[in-house]
Amino acid sequence: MLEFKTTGFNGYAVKYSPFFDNKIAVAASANFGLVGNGRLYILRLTPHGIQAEKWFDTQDSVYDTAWSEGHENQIVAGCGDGSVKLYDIALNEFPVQSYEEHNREVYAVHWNLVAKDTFASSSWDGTIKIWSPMRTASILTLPTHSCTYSTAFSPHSPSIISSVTSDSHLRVFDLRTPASARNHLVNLIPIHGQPPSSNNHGPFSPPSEALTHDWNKYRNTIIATAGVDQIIRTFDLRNPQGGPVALLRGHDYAVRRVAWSPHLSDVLISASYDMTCRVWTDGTAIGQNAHLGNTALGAGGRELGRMGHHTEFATGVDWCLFGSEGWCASTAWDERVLVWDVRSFMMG
Amino acid sequence: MAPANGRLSAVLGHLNSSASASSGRARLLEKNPDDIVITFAGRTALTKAKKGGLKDTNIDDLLIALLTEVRERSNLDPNLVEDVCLANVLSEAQGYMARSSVLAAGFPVTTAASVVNRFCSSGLLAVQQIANQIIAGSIDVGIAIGAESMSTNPDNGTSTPLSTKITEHPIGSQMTQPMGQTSENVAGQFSISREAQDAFAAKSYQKAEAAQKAGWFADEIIPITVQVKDPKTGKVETRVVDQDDGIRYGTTAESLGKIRAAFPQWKPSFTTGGNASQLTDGAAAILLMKRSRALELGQPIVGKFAGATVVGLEPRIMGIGPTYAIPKMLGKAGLDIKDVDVIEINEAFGSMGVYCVNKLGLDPAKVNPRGGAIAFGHPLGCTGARQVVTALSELRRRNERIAVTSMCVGLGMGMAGIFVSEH
Amino acid sequence: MADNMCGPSNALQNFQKHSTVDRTLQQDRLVQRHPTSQGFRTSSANTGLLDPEFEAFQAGHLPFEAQGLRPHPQGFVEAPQTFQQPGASGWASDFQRLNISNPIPQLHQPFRSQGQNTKGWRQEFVRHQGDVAADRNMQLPAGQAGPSYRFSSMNGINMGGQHMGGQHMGGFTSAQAQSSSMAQERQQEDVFDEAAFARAFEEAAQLEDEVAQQGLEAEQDDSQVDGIQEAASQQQQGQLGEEILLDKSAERLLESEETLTTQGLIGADQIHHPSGTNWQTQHQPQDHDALARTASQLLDNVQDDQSSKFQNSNFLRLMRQLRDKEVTVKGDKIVGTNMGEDVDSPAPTEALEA
Repeated sequence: MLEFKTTGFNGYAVKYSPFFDNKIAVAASANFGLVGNGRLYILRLTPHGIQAEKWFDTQDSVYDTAWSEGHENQIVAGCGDGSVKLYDIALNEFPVQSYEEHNREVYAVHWNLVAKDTFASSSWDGTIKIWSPMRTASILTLPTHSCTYSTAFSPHSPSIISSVTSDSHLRVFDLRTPASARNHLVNLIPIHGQPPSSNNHGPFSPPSEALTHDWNKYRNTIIATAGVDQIIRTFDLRNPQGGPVALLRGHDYAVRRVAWSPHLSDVLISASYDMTCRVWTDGTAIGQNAHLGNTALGAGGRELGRMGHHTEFATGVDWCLFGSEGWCASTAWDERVLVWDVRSFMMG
Repeated sequence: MAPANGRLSAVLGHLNSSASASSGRARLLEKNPDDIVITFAGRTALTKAKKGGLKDTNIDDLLIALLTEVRERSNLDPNLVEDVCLANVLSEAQGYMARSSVLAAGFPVTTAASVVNRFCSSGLLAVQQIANQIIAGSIDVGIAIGAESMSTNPDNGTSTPLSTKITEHPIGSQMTQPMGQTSENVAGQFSISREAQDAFAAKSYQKAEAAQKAGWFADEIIPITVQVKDPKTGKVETRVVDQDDGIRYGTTAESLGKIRAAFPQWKPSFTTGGNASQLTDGAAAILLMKRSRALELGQPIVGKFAGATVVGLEPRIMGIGPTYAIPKMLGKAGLDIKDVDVIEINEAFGSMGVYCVNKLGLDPAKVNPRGGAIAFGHPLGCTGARQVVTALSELRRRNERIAVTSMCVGLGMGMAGIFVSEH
Repeated sequence: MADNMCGPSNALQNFQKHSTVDRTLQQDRLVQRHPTSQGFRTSSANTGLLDPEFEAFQAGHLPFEAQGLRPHPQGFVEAPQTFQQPGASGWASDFQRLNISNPIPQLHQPFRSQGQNTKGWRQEFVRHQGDVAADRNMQLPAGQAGPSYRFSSMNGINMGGQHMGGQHMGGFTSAQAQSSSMAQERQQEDVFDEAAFARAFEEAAQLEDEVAQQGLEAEQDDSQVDGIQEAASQQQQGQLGEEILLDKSAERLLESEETLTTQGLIGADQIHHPSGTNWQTQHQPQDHDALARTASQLLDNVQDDQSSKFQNSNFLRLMRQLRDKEVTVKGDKIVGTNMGEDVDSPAPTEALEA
């Protein structure tokens, strides 16, 4: 396990560069992100451990970061003052752009994985904004009317973007549709379930804030969501009203981040307020369910292992894309970034 | 720029334990198709044995009256009701009463009947009995009905001589102790003063008075029409009974303090007619099925039955039964007592009432909010079901969700159940 | 409590949500809404050839079948299957078909008789839907009706004023076709499978072609948006049957939105509800008491956690200090309240450009 101390700053997000297998960005904030500055670290994994290549300080907290998919030196950060900052890591100190349209904290930023020329941000101000590095103003604003903790472009289509919000719903937008009055919204899925009716007999829990979500990298209609009710749920957009496909229970507190494996279609990793990072299978790998013999909801989904080295709320995880499958990075409010091999924490 | 408090409040919200899936309360509030739900719950008025409006109503007429109302008001095809479980303690020929009353109330021959008797907990046991049948797939729809006519079936204990194996058994021998004696045992062993018992009893009367005056009971009571005989003239007339008549307005601890001890032969002799449950007639019925069934049938879902459990303890202090049963039930449900909004504990006696509230650390504002058996009576087999009707009604009124019902049981047992309102 | 989330500000916010969503029937008729759209499918004959294989590869098990068999969360044991009634040819059903006594006169609703073939509530439900579609006298409370199958939103269950039946022209013709075909399928065994899925797929593709001819109405007259769509159409050609079939039935969105508006505000939305004009909270002075109270509540929420990690957490230590007013927030720093000492302050801040 490799470690880097983000002394004085509590980690919020960690992302591997899509271009360099040894480069990691970390979004971190002073005073646990409550007040004070933020810092975007650019770290490098070396034979001698993790070293800081440079960092960028911001006026207010930094809550998320995303590397450009099109330009190896470009990276964006979402800040507590509502700004979204675009950096060129070949430069020092200052962003090349600071987009200041959000009214409240920006909790998520995500780059378009297919078109590679746009990125999105989502905020407590109830909007998702889509930007281009070539433009100073946002291209599009999608309203959610709820604190939007997470937004992500689909890895399979440049025009599909999703979000999860405090109102316990997963929204999917298709930018190819005419905006009309729905603002490109094509799916509005209650994560906690549909109210029971003669047609719907799926599980129904009290709604609770959703804090994170991620698209499966192989199965293009599968999305995982998680949040305050501690359950990780997967949904299949082919059956949006069908309720969750898998329910992964185990975390003792709210789940702050989930990330599907880039190597295995059924594996994902999570970070939680319970100070652990856990690896899960949703039970859909071929051959996995054979011995179980039933198709009960979530029967195959289970925890594969957990990493408990963080000593404060764990907030960020990301998989390493290159090299050995199974390596990942995590960060937490304990001012540490850890890089570790998931397989050394798997049980049985 | 942005206030730290807003951000900290957001974090607080993430750590909100009642929202967490692992919290028993959140799990209890989930709605799943196999939940056992209540689609109808109602009761007759409770009237004083030998004196009140139901004094001349035999158990079968009482059952027929209430079951007819359930059939008519529930909007459910009576052919779908497969079993009616009668909770009754005192009637001879209970089985006959149950079966015949079901038929006479207009249910088809295909509706069966059964009986349960675990003394004061019979009403809750009947709910559990029907629920268990539904869970096991034996039936889809059933009615639990608790009923007691203490006017026509006085409680004389058992006249059957007990085996010496029992009377010479260290615990078994306690079986011969009457309820009053167990009340005094509790008062003595746990130092529950006369004043404390009278204060508890007075509060029961006062809460019931307030509830009756505010009209809250109207949400529970189904008026029934019965025959009543004038004791002086012998004339029989037809009357509608729709008011609980045991509630003495203006009761205070002082006024109760003047009542003499009911059991001078058992020390400390704190039990009186004023701080003990009344002898009463009445019935209560609960209609149960799975949630999925209720939705298919278009039945209104009033609430959910989330389980019940039983404990045993020494018969001589049977009154403290709830102090074992309630924690056991909460443990099974993963609930903390603070997750519970309304608690119905049967007030067999002031002694056990005071003890249970103190021992469990209950918030008095949540306990028997409409008064209890001291104020409006304890028709033995009815009470367990009556508590459910009252608890659901009170949860609706307060716009709250979770209730626990519990009672001590003669011969040393206790029961507790959990109900969720889905108004 | 999760249920008591209604606040005075709700009504206005909910009204805004209503007013920003255009639900006019005109809108439905004029605007083409499609689950898929131009550029999504190319005209290549080979497109979609591998889809069935891909679907099969992807599908571990279809989610649809999973419903109804979820173990009861409270630990009650599931009904053992041995208690289920045997099939239509079973001897028991002979007895059920006997009509020994006269049934009680029924109430006005036609009640469904106890059925044979009760292999679980789900099949009952499917038959029920069939019955209901046939029997329009069945009164279901409005709002309870909602399709469980993606393609069946136009059946007779939705009644009572919901604008279901005749509004579906243009983009919904295929959905109607789906509906009738689904209705037929429902008469048979309850099989929700690839065949139905593939059929809908084709119909959606057909739809797309129609739309591609009519062209897109883009509200954003913006080259970047066009650029996205351009890129999209080019990207699709390279992708191996990877398409997201998004069902955009307007009625379903409508239902979801309505459910959402009746749901109370949760969490961050309660603290600050995005309404676009809520500037006041930004400029209020720090309320030190409120901060202490929040810290105190947070500690209460985790107080049962005895783990050493929680006991030794620096964050929780800060919460205790805030609660006890040993420290507070001043400007963009956390400061001690005794003689203005800085406690736990971060690295010194330089003058930064925002």
